[in-house]
Amino acid sequence: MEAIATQTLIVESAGGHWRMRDRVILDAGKRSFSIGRSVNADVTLDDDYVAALHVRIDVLPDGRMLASDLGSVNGIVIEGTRHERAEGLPLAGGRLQIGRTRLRIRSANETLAPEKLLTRGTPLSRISPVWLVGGAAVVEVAQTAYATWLVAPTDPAIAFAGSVLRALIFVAAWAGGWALLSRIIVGQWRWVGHLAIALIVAVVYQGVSDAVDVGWFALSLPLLRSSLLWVPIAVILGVLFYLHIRLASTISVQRAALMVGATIAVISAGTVWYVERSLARDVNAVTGLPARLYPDTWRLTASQPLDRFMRRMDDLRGLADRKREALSPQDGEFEE
Amino acid sequence: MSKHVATASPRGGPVWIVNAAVTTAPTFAGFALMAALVACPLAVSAQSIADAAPTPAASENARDVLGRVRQSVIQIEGLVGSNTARSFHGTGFAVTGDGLFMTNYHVVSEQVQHPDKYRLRFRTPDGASGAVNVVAVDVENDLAVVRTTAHMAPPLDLVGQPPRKGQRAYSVGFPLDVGLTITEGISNGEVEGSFDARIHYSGAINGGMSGGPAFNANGQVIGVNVSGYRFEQLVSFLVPAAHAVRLRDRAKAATADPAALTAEIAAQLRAHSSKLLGAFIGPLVTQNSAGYELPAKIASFVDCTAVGNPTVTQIAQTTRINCASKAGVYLKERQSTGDIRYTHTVVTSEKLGAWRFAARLSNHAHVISTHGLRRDVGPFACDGSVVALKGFAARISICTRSHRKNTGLYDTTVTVASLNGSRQGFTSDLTMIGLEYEPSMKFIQRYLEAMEWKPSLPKP
Repeated sequence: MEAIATQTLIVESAGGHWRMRDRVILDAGKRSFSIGRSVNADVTLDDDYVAALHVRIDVLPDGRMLASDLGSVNGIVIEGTRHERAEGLPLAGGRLQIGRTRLRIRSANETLAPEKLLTRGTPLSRISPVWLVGGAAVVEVAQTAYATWLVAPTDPAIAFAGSVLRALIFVAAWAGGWALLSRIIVGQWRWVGHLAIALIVAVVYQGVSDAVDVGWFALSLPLLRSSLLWVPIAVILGVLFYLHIRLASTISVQRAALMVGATIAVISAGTVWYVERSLARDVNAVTGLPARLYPDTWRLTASQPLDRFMRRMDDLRGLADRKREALSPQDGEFEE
Repeated sequence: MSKHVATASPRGGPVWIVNAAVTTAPTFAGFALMAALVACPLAVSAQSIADAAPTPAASENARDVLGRVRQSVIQIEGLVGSNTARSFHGTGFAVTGDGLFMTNYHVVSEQVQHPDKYRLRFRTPDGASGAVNVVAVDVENDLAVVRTTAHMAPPLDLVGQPPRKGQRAYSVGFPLDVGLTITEGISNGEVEGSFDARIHYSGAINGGMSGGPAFNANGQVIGVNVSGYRFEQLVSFLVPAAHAVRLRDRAKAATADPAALTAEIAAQLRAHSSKLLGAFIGPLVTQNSAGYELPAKIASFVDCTAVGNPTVTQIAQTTRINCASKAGVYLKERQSTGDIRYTHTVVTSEKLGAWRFAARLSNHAHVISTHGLRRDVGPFACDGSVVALKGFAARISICTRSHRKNTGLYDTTVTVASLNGSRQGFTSDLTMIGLEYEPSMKFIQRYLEAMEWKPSLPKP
């Protein structure tokens, strides 16, 4: 510890996340120095909220640093707590804030923590995000072209351009929001990464739902409860939020999964409950609309004979009666 | 033109002639207030009608008819809660000497459906008034009989025989708010293609005259004022007096009992359901559209219209055939029941190809819901499957909901989408309102069995 007393001290001004912006190297052997706006201070700061001579720092032989207020109005902030007219205040990690400036005082021979390991990531993350964004964008445009072609509008060019433009604006706004959050939390925009996430998830979702649509027709699957249509949307939102949050912060895998999982679970449960309850009371809703039609050659199942289908309708009457009985006598009494 | 469900009519349709101040739906006669009140002297004189029977000179005059029946006609008013301002009003006339008056069911329907909310009272042309109670109804023919102990009037003479086309006729009532009024017109006999018999009266019937009597030149009641087209000229309808005779005889022994009336109405609606569904006898009449045999004008009282864009320059051609039975029974404001209607949408295309054609057809294959109120019906229950019909496979969805007050009645919708072919296809929506379940399903089965893929031979 004797060594530190003779080591050179360095005063760094820091920005967000305590990243260094500027530094002043003090004369070797200097153990006590002043900081202020005045040129007479040992370290001069360009900050209107700092006094001419604001604070004096004393470095003790054992390496501890003490701050003393030189009569400032705004005082000294250490670890978020403001101290006025402080005398011999110990600094934690050499950090303090005066006025609007964050400062860190370091010694030239400080001991550093070992470097953090970079995560190795998935094979996907080893591809350059720019390639991912480009690839996903191409698929997105192809999907839009397919959707436009399918409905055969009178003017396909303008319908296609409109869809692409809408998708572009939506994806840009979405990724932009997450990039802004990243900038606030970790100090980096990471917008290419967020763009890649948004596009890839959207493309995968669209592809899967188109495939499910065809599969539903091919297998002649029964009508779906409307409330269940929320489930794939909840899953896709969960995946999106998980990936974006992981990229936008330093949160651990477990915490991110827990946070997103819990949020999506609560929202899903609430939505399913709300939709079910609304439908149970909505006498005009025709629930479980059938999926889109496809050419009959894609159908894998056999058609039912009409007699057998009509026999199923005996159960339908009971179901309708039960739904009617589930309404309370007051239901609709004040409906106009 | 038996039952005039204005909402189902493409032109806005005929309206019931009750004056309802509280009415918000545009279908009913509150809006008749907007109709211009123009005194319209009829150009047709008795001499100009070649086949009109000679009538007694003393009765040719509307003033004489009005003078003879004045004492027997009353205004019937509905009051909400303890208010003295009226909510709706119509006309009634004496059918017995001891206080029974005939009117339209739709004049008193709000009170019958909500007896704790509304009360009824009468008002004579001389200003006397008192309470009346509904004792009997015939919802299918839109008639009701009310009883009062406060006003005895000479009963009017009801004639069971329907009048001939071209006979002079008069209609009496309290239109809008201008006092007792008589209008003069021509009876045009029974309406053609009507599920329930109605007399076509070419004379003015305005809001508030509902339930009033219509006379021949002898001053005998030939019918009861019931409805008219709002934006047409002097096309009005009467319920034939024969129905009034039957209800009068039934009402003589009846007492005012709201619970019994409710049960009676439900029973009458079930009877109407059986009568309507029983009217489709034999195989259903079909027409061929783009190779598909589809149910068309399946009964005399079903009207079909077609619209479409046959232009071949379009990427796809769509033709729509709308059919409606016009057999609906007015139950109360915004609820009419006992009706069938169906729409076929036929799509053809030479340009789309199989994949895109199926997508185009999907746009028409949505299950159609009919509007209902929660106090009247429960939620829909649905089922669907791919079914083998004659010569082709179709995706069929059936949804049904159960009525709450009128137990045993159901609203059912059927949606059919053809799956064969990539150059032609159709979707079909069948809506059945307020009918019994088992007979409805039997009808649906016949409706689906009538559909057939029967393409014409290739053109040379």
